[in-house]
Amino acid sequence: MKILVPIKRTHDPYSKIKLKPDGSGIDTSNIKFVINPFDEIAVEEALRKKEKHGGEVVILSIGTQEAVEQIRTALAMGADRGILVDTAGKTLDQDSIARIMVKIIGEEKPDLVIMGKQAIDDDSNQVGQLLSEYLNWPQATFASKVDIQDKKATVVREVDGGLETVEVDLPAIITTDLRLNQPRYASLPGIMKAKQKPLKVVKLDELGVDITPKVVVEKLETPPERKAGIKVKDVDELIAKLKEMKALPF
Amino acid sequence: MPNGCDFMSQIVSKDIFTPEDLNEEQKMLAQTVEKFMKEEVLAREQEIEEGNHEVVKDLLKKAGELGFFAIEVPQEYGGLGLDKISALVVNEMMMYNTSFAVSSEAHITIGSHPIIFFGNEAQKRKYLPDLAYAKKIAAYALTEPQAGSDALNAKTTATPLNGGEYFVLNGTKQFITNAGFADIFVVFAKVNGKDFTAFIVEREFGVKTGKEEKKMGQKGSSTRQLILEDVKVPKENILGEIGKGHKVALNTLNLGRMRLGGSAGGGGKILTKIALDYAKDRKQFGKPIISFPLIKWKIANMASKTFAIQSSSYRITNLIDQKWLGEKVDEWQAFEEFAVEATILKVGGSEFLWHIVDEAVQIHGGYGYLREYKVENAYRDERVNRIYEGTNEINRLNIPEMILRRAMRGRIDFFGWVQRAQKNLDSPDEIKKQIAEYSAKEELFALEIAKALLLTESQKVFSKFGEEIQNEQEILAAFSDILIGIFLGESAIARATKHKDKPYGRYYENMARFVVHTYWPKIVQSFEIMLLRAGLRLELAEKLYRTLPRIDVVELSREIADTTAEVL
Repeated sequence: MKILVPIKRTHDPYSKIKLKPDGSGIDTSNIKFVINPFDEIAVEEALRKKEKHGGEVVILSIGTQEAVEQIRTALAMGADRGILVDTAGKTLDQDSIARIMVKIIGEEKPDLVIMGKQAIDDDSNQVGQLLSEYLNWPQATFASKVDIQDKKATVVREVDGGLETVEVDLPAIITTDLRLNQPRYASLPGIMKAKQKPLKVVKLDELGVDITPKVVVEKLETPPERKAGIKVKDVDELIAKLKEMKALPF
Repeated sequence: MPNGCDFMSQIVSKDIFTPEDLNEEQKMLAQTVEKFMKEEVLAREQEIEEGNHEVVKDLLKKAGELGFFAIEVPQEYGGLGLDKISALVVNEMMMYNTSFAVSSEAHITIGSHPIIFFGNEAQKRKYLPDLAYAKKIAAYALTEPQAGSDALNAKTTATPLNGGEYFVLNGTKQFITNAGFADIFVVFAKVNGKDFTAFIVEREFGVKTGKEEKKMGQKGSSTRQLILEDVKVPKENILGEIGKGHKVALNTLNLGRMRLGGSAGGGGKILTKIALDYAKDRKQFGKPIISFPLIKWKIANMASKTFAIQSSSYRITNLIDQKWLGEKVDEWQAFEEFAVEATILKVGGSEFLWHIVDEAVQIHGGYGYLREYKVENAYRDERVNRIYEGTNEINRLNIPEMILRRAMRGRIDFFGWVQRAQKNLDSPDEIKKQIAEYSAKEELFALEIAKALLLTESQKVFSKFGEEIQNEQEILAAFSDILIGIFLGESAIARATKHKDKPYGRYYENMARFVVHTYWPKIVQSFEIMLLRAGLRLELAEKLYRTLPRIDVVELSREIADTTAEVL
């Protein structure tokens, strides 16, 4: 079974984010970058499925040359080879990303695409679903358990108030939720092996995908800083204050 | 090819290896270890600090599975056989928890390296594959209750049995890290009460251990006596040759000192970050305390000292790699070649880390005194760095002793160096010309003058005292303090020079200058100690004092702190 795992280079969730002064994006100087944590879960799931069913795990990233670092990390975890679509720094919206992936998937013909449900930087949660639409493949999003048998995937999804189990025919798109698995560490021998593994770089222009954005980020803002609270003597004063602030519906 | 002590007679190269020069794999190794430390080790820090050694043992096993200890084990024995820089970056990251770090070091650095360095083929095949992945854990057993600094004066005996087929070991070893759970001990004992010899002793041969010692810090590491009562060891487990145990013991410590000094860089970086985050967060008088100049001074001091340690440790570690991989000498010989530098790094690194951790506690104020805060524990853990791997006093005596021994054996051309130093002192403009392109060149110039004076004056001091110099421990320590300041300072300057055109070039130069200016009084004072004691003219020390231009260090410290707050 061939599994394709698209991964995104994002900031480390533990690092403090600063915006560029003009609000056009995140200030990336002095920030650590990692594989988007949801995508890392996807890498882990793909590796487990490969260990069980055999086959190949291919990593795809769309971004600048720097994303090679994240592809290598996935290879160090155990993936077999990597593909980078080098965007040379062009800004792409989610729709363009999905259509670029369609091209690569057309060439690679995987049996399964597993990816994070969203990236922690823009939280857009769209690419998996768009991909399913463009490829006309079934989708199982927000997976918290994945079983594969006889060209079918049984996926448990976390939905409001409970769990939903769906069955999809392969090839399919699965997007991962937080509780699917605990990703392994890239072992030190794995890191040393990763540099021998094939990594193909494709130039974005060569794919001939129209990347005119449908969505443009106008501006990013940090939430307003929380103001200091006040102390009240008793419940009566509390209610009076809340009324004063018009924070009560009555 | 580089040789040990070269730095004493040469201007530091502008092309030393620096942390900025790590390759992609080395960065990934560091990232994996950092991730493991944060997610696995720090998650269990409370249990570790309560002295739960089982947790440390479990974590060593887990780290072993991930290959943390395979780095330095040769590929023929299942390891990765990587360079020493790779080992250093991993070592630095382990400092997120010092109990874990010291247990790791006891296992791989001093526990396993005697076998890597001196084991025969059969011993390497038998032990290294398991040690590389922590399937078995190692420990190093040299010290005895009455033989600490005087380590070669061991009382443990090895008595031959069956015409030398076996050796029966009797004695007690003191302060043995990992003793609670180690499977393999490298034990030093005297064959027939006289020939100092190293043995590989398996726990299963019947060793006993004492009670867990209750320590000031490093509470998660296991420290016990190793008790040998009629322990039968087969002759196949003699490590190296009978009577050559000192070679195993001392060369392992050369590596241990390097690593201890190197890990101080990792510790310094982590502590600077913790203190900085606190100083940004903590508000007094209506603003974050990082905005107060005296707190800035502390941050600048921490950042600069860390910078100097790392500049030095990467510099020497790479020289060792060049020597070992380039000249195809044995690994231990490369470490022996740079034993003086390693000792400088051990003393300088551990003492800089002491100042760093002290500042970290002070920035935390009363909270820094509470167990709840990491700096409290770091403060206690740091203390032992100045004691083990040779006390800093013993190491201060070792530095000039090693240099003099090399001079007497003709390994270094000490008298040629003295003559050249005299020439430099006579025409200082020559030095100025040679360092014109360096960052912090005024500071480097002052260090070069100090270097030349150290050679010319110490030669006078040594010839005045002759054999008696060994009783003048204060002079020997002063000699070392001067050399430590020179080495750490010039390493920082070389790193700043290498990166002077980068966006952080000015920041690096500032830190290098700050280190030299704050260490400078100690250099001058050490000269005074030497010269006055030996009845030599003091004018030289006074002249030296004026060699370093006096500058507004306050301005420097504020700028360093502001940049640190931005980038760290």
